[in-house]
Amino acid sequence: MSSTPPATTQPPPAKPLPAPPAPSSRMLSGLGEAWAVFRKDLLSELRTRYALNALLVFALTTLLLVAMTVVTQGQGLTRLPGGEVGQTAARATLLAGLLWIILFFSGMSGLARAFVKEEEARTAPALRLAAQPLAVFFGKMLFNVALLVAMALLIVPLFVLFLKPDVKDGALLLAETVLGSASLACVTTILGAIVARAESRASLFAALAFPIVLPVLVIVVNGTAAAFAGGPPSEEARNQLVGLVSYVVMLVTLSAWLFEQVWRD
Amino acid sequence: MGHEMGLMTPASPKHRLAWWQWAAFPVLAAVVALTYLWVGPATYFSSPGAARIIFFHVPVAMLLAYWYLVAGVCSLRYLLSREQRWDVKAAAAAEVGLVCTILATISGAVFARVQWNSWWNWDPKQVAIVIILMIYAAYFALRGAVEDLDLRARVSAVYALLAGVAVPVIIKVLPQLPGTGTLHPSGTLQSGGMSADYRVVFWLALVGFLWVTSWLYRLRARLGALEG
Repeated sequence: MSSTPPATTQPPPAKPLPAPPAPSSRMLSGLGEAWAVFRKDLLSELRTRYALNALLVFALTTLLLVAMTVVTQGQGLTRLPGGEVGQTAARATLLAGLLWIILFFSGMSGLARAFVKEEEARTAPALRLAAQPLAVFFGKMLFNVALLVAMALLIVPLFVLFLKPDVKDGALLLAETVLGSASLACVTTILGAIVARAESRASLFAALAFPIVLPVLVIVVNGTAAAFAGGPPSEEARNQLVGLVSYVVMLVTLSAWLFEQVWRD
Repeated sequence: MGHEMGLMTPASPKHRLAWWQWAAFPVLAAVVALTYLWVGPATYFSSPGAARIIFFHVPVAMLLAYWYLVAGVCSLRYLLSREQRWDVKAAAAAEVGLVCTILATISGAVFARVQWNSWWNWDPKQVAIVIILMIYAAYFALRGAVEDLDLRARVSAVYALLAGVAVPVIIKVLPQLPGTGTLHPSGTLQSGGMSADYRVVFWLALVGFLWVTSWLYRLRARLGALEG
């Protein structure tokens, strides 16, 4: 009893540093961190609804402008070769292109927010300390995907309602909507991190995104036109979706590898 | 540092052209002279005399790809080494590449007007060149929008690599679209589709343009090093 020193006078002996965690547990904690970043963003978004409101207002404005100004039901677009009235291939392609231009620019108006808001609120340094770079990247990517897919799922039905495409393959349209908007969000996440560190962010983001998203848009517009037109091309569109997914996987891998260079101070 | 001072004061008698710089002039003069005095009109061209534009258009288009690649490799080396000089070289190569791209676009449009009777008709190679021009525009806009030298080097290298990966995919994906067949010939060089006179002048022109653009690149990289 007498050999025990009183706790108030002497600090306890320093503990040895814990051994570095095994790779598997580090990966697991990284996944947990990514999920935490995602949840943080989702919570603050659900409280303020800043990004979703901005995206939706932009998308609705563009959609209404397109619906009111672009002629999509003229003579040449609804007259089939046999003479009866219906949806020509030209009309299907035109509508698919319009739909994805609306979705692309709406995404461009809000997807950089995930990183820009951290720089503007000066919370980025804290986030750099709190989580591994990869966890930040995948957390933000997940948030952007959720945001853009939610917006697309709201906009596409309105588009169908207003512009009246003849949807021949509903399942394909749904697949193109979900995969296309998720792909747009995935490949532009690192660009959001880049523009957050630059000036003149809004205009720069769309310019940087153009070459990166072009393959996505080409495939998705093609597939959406096939969903409107139906028939054998929609088989081909399903195969092209595989190409889309591999492009996205390639770019996300590259982005994850490069992200630390952009994120670090 | 002596020669660098010479660069800053152009009037200095110390700054003379090296032998290889002088040698570029006769090579290019020979290209021009042979193009107009020796090479005959080509068959299979809607305006045989105008076929001579290939001595300008094709080398510039090939060098566009070369300098684009150099810029990408320099960007990668910057990220791996974090030495500022690789960023300077990447930016210099990108500027030379941009010059080649603009020249290839203009000469291509003139060629298209003569051969296909239309300045611009969205041939897959014309699509690709527009995309590359847009990438350069975005790249230089990004460089202009970041103040900090180290951060600018990092983000522009990252962007160069991302865009570098996207380009081959774009070029692969676009021709699959319906209604976009190419009018550009392919395999002419490999299969010996050019007569001997054309071949000689073509390779001379390619060497000459590579020479001059490398010179431009060296000057730009030195200037960039002095700025940084």
